[in-house]
Amino acid sequence: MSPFLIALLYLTARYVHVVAATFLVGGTLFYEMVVPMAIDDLRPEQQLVVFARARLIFTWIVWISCAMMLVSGVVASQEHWDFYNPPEQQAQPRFNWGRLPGYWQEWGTSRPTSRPQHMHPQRPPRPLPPEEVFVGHSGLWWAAHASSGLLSLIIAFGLTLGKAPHPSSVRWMRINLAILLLVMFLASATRQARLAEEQHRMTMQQVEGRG
Amino acid sequence: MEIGLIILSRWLHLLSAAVAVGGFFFAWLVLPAGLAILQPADREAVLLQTRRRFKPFVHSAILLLIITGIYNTMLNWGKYKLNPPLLHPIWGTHVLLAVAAFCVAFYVLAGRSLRTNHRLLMAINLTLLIAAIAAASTLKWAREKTVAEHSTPIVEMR
Repeated sequence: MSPFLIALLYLTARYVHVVAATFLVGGTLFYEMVVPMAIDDLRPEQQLVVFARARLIFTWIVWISCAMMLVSGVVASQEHWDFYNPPEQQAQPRFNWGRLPGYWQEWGTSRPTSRPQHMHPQRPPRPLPPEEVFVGHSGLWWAAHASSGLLSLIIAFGLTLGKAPHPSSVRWMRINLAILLLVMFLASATRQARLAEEQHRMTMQQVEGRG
Repeated sequence: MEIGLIILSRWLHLLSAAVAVGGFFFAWLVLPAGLAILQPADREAVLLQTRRRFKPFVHSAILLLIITGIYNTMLNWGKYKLNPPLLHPIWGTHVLLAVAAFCVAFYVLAGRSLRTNHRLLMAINLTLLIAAIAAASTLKWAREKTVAEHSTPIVEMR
């Protein structure tokens, strides 16, 4: 694929990811905080019908947004995978699932005080400026963002299943809104950590090039 | 401390955009579908109530977008100077689209009664906001690309 098409793909993925997130977060906030107060004057049976009809349309928005976020999230992660999973970390031996019984046996008999090196690969120490240590490794932020994002998508998807809303759906919607806000915060932190690492790599390359 | 402020600023910018875009999308497409079964008088009353409840969210979001937008611009202004012919037009497009969307938002939410063409105005506002997000995404991509291409010496070797 040509570099132009790749750049266009990454740009579109980022755009789609943000737009889908705004639909999901803003729609949830509107559905949960604005609509109930706005229909307060209607009769209870009218309120139920309005809620049910709005939910039907919102279900499609949630499903499409979830699908768009998953696909665009995978593409965006692939774009920055080199930062989230650096080459020096990839060079380390990985966990061997085939040897899992052996690991278990070893754990049961010898009770090691620390996990074997091949189960917990260590990155070689890379000096970071003190002001950037707070941000840390972008891969960890990415993992937190991706896992919490997946959890929120599963909750959102689960809330739209079935013909009638679950009695505790309002409470779950509030919980999901809080998780979505956390996911957005983790996205910002991931980006900041990645930019700090990018800056650090460039600095180190320049130092090595001149040395 | 500064890094925390940068992350917080970006988070608030995204959150405000989400409130505005998602809210207008819901008000434009989802809510009217839900209210279609009501009598016109009831429907208008609910829409007016919705507008009244939605207004503080939108006004707060606009205020936060302006404050965090200025802060983000100040942080990145040095990077924008690296390639002005590319970055300044995209930044300008983003800001112009956002300002136009704010104006439409203020207009559609102002007054005691609904605008006769309020759904059309909401659709226009949503389009402007989504175009502003597209400009922001392009700006971020172009800015990172420009910074990566400019290998200005950061650490001087003695």
